[in-house]
Amino acid sequence: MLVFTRKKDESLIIGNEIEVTILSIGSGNVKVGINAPRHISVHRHEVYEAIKRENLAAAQSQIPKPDILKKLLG
Amino acid sequence: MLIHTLNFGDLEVPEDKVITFKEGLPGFPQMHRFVVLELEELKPFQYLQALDEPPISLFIINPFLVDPTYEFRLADSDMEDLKSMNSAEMAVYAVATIPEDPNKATLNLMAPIVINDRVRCGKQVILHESKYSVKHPLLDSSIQNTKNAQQAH
Repeated sequence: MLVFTRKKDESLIIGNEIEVTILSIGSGNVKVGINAPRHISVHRHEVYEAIKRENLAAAQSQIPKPDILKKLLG
Repeated sequence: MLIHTLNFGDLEVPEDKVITFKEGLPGFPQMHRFVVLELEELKPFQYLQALDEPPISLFIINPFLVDPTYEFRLADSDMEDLKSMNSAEMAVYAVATIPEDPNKATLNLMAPIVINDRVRCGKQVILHESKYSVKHPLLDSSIQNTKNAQQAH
């Protein structure tokens, strides 16, 4: 892993198109601004991981019996 | 074309029904080609079947059947990935997780699957700032309450 030290308002360039700027530094959190082309998706890691976990769980779903299917929707 | 499914054996699907997910899905980044199967015995659910190996499949459902007030705004970047600026040509599905105890089934309303039917491409979009959960209980809470009340007696 590459490690950099940055001050407020300083930034990093990743590749030719992605710029990451430290907008503010608080106690225990930093605010980061990202300028990237629209085809690059940026997600909070924990949100992405939650969705990944849910997809993996969904792929293990059991096929419910027809009467259960009806009931599932009330 | 003939496709292989784990649960329904081999099925014949028209070539033009194949939907391309450029980025795959979170958890399945290597899966790019899917079809939506409508099987009478699964209604109102449908089946999002991967055509790449392994042949995984996901239960999907029209989320508006579960929550008629469901709403979200597609980000410009998502619209771009879906090659459309017109939300009217998009189909929206939510992925269901149905565990062994179907009473604990949930819907992922935070990351709906959006499909552009015209161009046959799709994406699982992530609604960052939304109030929706990845585990929205599928069973209506009133049904749950009735059950709990019955169990209490």
